[in-house]
Amino acid sequence: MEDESVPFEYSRKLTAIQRSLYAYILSMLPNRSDAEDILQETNLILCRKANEYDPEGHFQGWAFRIARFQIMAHMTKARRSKIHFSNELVDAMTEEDFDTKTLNVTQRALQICYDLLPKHMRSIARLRFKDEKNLREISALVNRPLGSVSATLHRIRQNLAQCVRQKIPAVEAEMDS
Amino acid sequence: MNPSSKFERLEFLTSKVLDEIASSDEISELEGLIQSHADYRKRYAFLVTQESLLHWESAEVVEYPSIVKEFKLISFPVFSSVAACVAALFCAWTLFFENPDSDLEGSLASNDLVVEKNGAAFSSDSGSKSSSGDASSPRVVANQSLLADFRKKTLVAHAVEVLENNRRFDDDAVVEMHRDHTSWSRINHLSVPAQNGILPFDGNQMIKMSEMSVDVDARIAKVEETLQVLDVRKLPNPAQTKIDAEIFVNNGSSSNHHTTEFKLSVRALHGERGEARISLGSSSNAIVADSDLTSWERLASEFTLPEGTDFLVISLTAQVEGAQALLPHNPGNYADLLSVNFKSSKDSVTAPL
Repeated sequence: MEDESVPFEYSRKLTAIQRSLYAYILSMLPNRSDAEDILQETNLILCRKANEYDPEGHFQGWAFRIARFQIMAHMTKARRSKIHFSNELVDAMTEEDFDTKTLNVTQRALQICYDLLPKHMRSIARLRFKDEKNLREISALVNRPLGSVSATLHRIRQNLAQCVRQKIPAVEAEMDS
Repeated sequence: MNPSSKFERLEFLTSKVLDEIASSDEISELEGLIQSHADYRKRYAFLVTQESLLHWESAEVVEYPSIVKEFKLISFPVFSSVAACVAALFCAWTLFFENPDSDLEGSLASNDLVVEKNGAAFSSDSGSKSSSGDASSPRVVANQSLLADFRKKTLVAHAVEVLENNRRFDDDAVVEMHRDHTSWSRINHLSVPAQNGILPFDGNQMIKMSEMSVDVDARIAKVEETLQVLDVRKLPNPAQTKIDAEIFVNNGSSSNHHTTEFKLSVRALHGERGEARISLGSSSNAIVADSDLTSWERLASEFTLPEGTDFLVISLTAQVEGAQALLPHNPGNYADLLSVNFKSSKDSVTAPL
């Protein structure tokens, strides 16, 4: 039986870290469009380098290092994004903060917490996170000032973050059982 | 400012940054906070992770709250990540068409990721190396087939994950649970009504295959769709079971220059959770479709399940070879009425799946 250049296991590992990878990139390029571009570029390089990967190695660390180079290159090459952190921040962020297991637990807790949002918050959240509207568009759609929409989104994020932190121990216990 | 208000300030600034309304001063302030202490960095990472999940997973979070409640043990994240990867890779694939001069492409030219264990079932595009004549096109083609192949494998991996975890719904397919097997089927997701002068063979929907990718050097235009993945781990006596797969195809072109070969394949996979899947064997049957838009050709494939089969992958390939592969593609390749039957040794039939 011949070896595959992209083994099934490699595909599985790559797909499993996609959200961690995206979160890691977004933390340094907090502009979704840029972050998605870098994610795509990183995926392509990871495909290309499939044969170079040591199956005994730490896949996420390897993938994150490649993403980091892409982020640095992006920052150096062009300041396309209005929002731009410095290279020092890239050095400061660690892959441990985006551990896949933690992210899975957060995801589960987030699903629970999202249901607990008040209805008016959910409608704004839906416009922002699902329909991907920007603040100006949401402001026009709900006929509220931009500042008010911004404040609501901040409260939504705060509520969710607080709720998720509270739910994480129970979710971890549930997932471990 | 006390630590508590610093956390609040960090959350406020992060929210503004994520909404892309932060000023440069606010960005600098946030950066300073993040770098000032590991706890602030962790809080920032947490908030960004939450944000990425909200955008990434919003379809599930927003649309399926009741299902989430119902299946508390479902491990959502892996499923979502796989779906996300499919989307990401598809975007990447698209990206290459938009940016043919990307410096990534040169090193992707050798089509080195397109290799398959069982050539009969999943024969890959071969020999797509850069030619000296046209510097850019072959590279694009190599990347295209590379990504198409990777996407195909990712989709199968995703289907297996869904089935392994007993998930009852999926963005990419319909999951149906039966007594002794579970089916993950993309047929509904690939279905279209009558189009380009072609009427469905049965009912008012038919499968439309994706656009073919062209390998200029090998002169092959090809598309492969994973139609169905079956979990047969609970099937009694799988080694004594045969699977019959049947489908009707239409090449969608009235031009005599297009002779499209369709191939229906069944592949058996084995492997425990967390292990690499091993292809135990496969079977495929091919037919060259005519150019009559009104006629549908039957294509069937039979396969005896090898011992140890855990999953079955049913896929359909459409391929054009030779100079005609380089001609503009026909409007589409269509299929309809996929029927998959299990036949046990006692001639009992489970159908259709």
